[in-house]
Amino acid sequence: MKGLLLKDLYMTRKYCWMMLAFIALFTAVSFVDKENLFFQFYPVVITSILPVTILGYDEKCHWDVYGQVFPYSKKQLVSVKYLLGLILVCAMWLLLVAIQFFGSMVNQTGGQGDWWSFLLVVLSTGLLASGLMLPIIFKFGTEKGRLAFMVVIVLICAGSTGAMSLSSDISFRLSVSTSVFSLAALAASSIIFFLSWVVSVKIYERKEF
Amino acid sequence: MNAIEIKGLTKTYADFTLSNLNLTLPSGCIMGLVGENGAGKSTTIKLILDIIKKDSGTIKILGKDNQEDIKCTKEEIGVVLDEVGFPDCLTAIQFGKIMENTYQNWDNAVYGNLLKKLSMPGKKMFQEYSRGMKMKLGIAVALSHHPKLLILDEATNGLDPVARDEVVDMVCEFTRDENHAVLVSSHIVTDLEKICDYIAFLHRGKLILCEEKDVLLTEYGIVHCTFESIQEIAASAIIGKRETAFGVEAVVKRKDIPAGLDYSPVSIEELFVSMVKEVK
Repeated sequence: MKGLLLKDLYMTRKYCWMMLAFIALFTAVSFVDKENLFFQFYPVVITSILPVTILGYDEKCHWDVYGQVFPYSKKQLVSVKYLLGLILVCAMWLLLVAIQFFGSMVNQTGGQGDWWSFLLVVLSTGLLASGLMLPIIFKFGTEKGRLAFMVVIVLICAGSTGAMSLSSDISFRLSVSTSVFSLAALAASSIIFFLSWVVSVKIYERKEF
Repeated sequence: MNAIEIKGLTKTYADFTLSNLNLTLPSGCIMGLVGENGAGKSTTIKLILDIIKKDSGTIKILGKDNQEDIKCTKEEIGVVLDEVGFPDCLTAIQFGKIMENTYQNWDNAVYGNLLKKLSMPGKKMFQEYSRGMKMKLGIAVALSHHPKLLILDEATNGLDPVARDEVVDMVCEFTRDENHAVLVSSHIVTDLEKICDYIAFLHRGKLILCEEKDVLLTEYGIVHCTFESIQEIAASAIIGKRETAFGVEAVVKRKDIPAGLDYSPVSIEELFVSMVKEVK
């Protein structure tokens, strides 16, 4: 699968460098404007949809069929998109962590429970976005799956910011700390990501090309 | 050992059925799969490679059922489809690195030599290649991991005569090794006639003929005669005929025509067209 991953990384670098530059810019802005959650969520959510963008390019150049002439199983052809998503989301999240950590050092506010809780919810959002979108794209293709794709993005952006602002309230009502709430969110999104991979493999194995 | 052995292969779509296909490609041979557009050539190749699922039948590649670890079998197959589906933004050098991490037997030296031989620019993006160059790159990739079987699906379509000739030369070079075999599909029959040992005619999802090329060329002929003379030939000996203002041109089985009747050699294309018209 190394070859497939290399291909996708080459494509990400070539096709998505502008997107990556925007993401880096938004991450930097999030350092300055800490009140606006959009700048913190946006880079990770956008990063999580890069595998969908690469799938679109694969379809356009007929790699979806041609890729199957090489010694890869259909499971591997699907798995590489999840692996790519995981690598990109984690890399972006670590960048965000580094920036937030640097910011908290400067402002001497680091290490608080809410700080980590927030970052965990951001990571959960990234995994959730990939997990919800990839099976739709594998099933319907990028052309037909576009509408569902947009709906998922809007729901995830609205849901994450909403969940973040409600987390304190929910935690209070359930008598658990926001850290527990965030860990539960991460666990749930990880399970969804895993189930999404299983479903996508099944879809791809049954797909006729 | 046979390179490909297909028995009773069937695949049904809403508007098309590939039915009960039986085909054997011995090692060391080149087989041409001839058929009009939509005859089932690409469907057959996709079924061989397990890209689509068969309804029934068996397919063996290099002695192994294609349902048993096809991933491993694909290490020994080089494939070029009518659309070489490499990403547009990548270069030949990058494809080499991708394939180095794909095939266990990938040979960078072979790939480098082929790129040089074919005058392929290593750093040019795939989208800037002409169709001929794309095909040649596809073939270079297909040949650089020491495959035993080469499968080409409409690989010469849309190429200029010079590029087509280069592709044909590469295929011939590959089959110098007697353990190598090639399955090549095309509707440009003249290309296949140059290189194939076996010819298989597919028409509307059915195999109407599969025979050694030399046998076909010696078994069939073309008779140019008058309307009266054609009546002397048994109907069973006539594969197909075309009537003109000057007489009749008929593709016939040589051994079944009356002695003394002159005939000329038939081309594979003429034979195929006659057979298809007859089936219609």
